Amino acid sequence: MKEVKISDLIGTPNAILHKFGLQVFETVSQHISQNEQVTLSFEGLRNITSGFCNASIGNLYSNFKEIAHQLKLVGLENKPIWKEKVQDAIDLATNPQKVKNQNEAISELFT
Amino acid sequence: MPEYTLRANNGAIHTDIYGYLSLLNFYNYARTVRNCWITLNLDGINFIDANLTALLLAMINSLEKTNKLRVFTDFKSLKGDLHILFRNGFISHIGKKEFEFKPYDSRDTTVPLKYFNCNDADGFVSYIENNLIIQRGLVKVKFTDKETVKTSYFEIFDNVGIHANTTEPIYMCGQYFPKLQELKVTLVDLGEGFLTKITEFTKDSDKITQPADAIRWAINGGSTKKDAKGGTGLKKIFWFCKKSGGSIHIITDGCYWNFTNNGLSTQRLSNPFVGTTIHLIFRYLSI
Repeated sequence: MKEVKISDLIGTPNAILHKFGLQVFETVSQHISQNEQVTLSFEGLRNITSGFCNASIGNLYSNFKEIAHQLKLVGLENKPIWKEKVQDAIDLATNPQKVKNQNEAISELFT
Repeated sequence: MPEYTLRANNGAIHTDIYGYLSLLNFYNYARTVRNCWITLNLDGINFIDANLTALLLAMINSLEKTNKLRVFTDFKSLKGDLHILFRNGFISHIGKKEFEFKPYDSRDTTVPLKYFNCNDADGFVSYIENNLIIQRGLVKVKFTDKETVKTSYFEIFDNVGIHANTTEPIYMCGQYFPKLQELKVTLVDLGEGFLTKITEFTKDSDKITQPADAIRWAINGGSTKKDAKGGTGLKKIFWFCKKSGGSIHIITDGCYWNFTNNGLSTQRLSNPFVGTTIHLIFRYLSI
């Protein structure tokens, strides 16, 4: 089992940039491509954004069909808002209809 | 030395299209001169929403680069409510003393004026956490809503770095109005605006060619990122503003787009400033 600690990888406790998410995606992808199990640790982070989650977790779910069996996320305990962001990223990658429904609700405001 | 007197209806510059036009008039006048000092005379106004100094400083710094202008302001003209320009740091910035004279706001009604390099994620996080989120206007807002505001700004900051195609800094400033229970926050970038990238991104589907449509597309969660889905910064902060009875103003590509609980309005601007300005007005903050 390979462990990737996000804060060590990106060099900051603030995982707020898209490019940080792509860094995580590229690193984890290499291990997943070699059929390794990966533990991705959110420990040591102070902030995450949906942009970061989409570029990292969402991107992994978009590119690897079996990712759920190979990737374990840790450090999200007692962080319901972060869990929600991660789940949203997974939904965005795997369930576009849910996102479409949300967007249509916003569109109705402008009509 | 050329001189421009800032003016506004009843001497008050607010966070609305008229306030924007007041500052834009200064900018467009100053663009006509080069290689000199210019006096910005504030005798014509008695009030300005302090958050608008993010836009004013962005204009001044932009003029310094494009037209080699330096701006002089007579501190003696800062009377009454204009003292806020000392308290939020605007005067320190104008005098190029922002690193020597840290603003002190004895009334605790401002989110200080600051600018950030697009790569300075940690600096921006520190500013949001240590200035915006602890501002007394947001003190009673519940934790989850504060998180929404905080991370939405992080996403907007990230979007500028990716989409605006600029190395110029991002400017930000805010003012809290205790009696009205309003917090007004302005963020300015000097990049390309929304339209160029969105037009390119949508060219093979429902091509977007109008600035107002591009803003709506971005608020709706659209993203031009090609290597992964984008963030939801504008979308979430839009919802939070709407929920709190506030409003959102986005000025980009010559369009002034304003959404309030009364609906949407858009107006075209001639000779607009570069980049994108976003005003967020949060209301009912202490309830």
